[in-house]
Amino acid sequence: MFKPTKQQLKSYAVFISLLILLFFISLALRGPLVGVLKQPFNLVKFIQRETMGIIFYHRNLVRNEALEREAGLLKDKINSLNELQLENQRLKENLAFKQRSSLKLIPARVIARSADSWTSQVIIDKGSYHGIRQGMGVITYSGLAGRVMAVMDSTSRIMLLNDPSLGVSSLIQRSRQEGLVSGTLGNNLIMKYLPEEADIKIGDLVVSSGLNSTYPKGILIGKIVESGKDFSGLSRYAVITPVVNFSNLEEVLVVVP
Amino acid sequence: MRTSRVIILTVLFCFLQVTILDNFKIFGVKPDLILIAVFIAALYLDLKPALGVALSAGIFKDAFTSSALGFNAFLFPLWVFLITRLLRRVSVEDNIARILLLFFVAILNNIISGLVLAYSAGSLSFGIFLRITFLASVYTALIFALILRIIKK
Repeated sequence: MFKPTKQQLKSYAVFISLLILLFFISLALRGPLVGVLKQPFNLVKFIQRETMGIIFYHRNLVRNEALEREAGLLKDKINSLNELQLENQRLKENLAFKQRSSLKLIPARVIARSADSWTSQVIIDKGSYHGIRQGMGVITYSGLAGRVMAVMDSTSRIMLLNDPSLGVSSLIQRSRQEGLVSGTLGNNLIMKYLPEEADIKIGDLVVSSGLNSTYPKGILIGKIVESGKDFSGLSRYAVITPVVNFSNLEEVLVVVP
Repeated sequence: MRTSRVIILTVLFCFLQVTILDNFKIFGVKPDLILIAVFIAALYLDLKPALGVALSAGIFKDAFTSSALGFNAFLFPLWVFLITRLLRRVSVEDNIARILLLFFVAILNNIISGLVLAYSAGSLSFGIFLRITFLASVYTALIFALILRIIKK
């Protein structure tokens, strides 16, 4: 049987001790060594990458073009999804308004606008075929929008509230003061024929009075931002900021009386 | 400029006029791109094709306004006829002169449109009439200046 001599045992012990020492030394040196070698490794990696880039230039170019195309398509997709999300939100608001409203409403999309600056009108994608008749009121989920002026089979022409040809009997919600709201072909509306002693405050809300059957009572029109005396000095007027943005109308609801 | 190019430009301008132009309103007015297209037709085409473009553009504009039927279909060919008559006597090669001529046509067109509207609807105040007549004409002339620069390029 193998029986080591004393000398051999000593050599083994020295060898094992050296191994253990080396193990600890290598552990201690690992950090600084990697630190020192990091820069040369990076340099080698850089050279390797650049060389590969030169060698595979054409393949990378083709791949880059393909990826750019894909990125473009994905961007388009994201844009159309954003658009769909916004449309979905608007339609949800319209639907919610339609459901909580007691009015019978016909939803419609705006497909075109008036061609000149003299009128403020839009064309919608619903007509007599869908039950729309001339003179019906038009609202959005935020407030009063206008009136149906002409009806074709599948389209209708809507005169918007900011057209001076359209007058809506309305009242100031707080003081119940009545007046006539009409457009200025600009961003604001004007409430006319208010008596001199009318109780008007900046910030008052103006709603439809419901005096005729076209517009239901209480539909929000806008907020008073200014008031003053008429040119004649006999009556007052109020400038109203409408709640509906007439330039960006996309969907409307036609009120069936 | 070729007839086909003017026709394409007119179709494009007609489409823009009734769709996105409301988003570019300044003080409640927008430029009259259809009038610009008709003016370009009068400048660059012979009388007959220019009259055809003007009539088509007028019918299109009438379809999208509440003005009396055939109002623009009558006015646009009239402008084309008068401009071509004027161009026979006076040279309008300079861009400034062209812009001024368009401004003059736009002012006249707006005054007639406004008066017809005021007469038919009876609810147009003098302030609104002045604002739209003047600002819409200036806006139209400025857009025409921009288009002339693009055409030159």
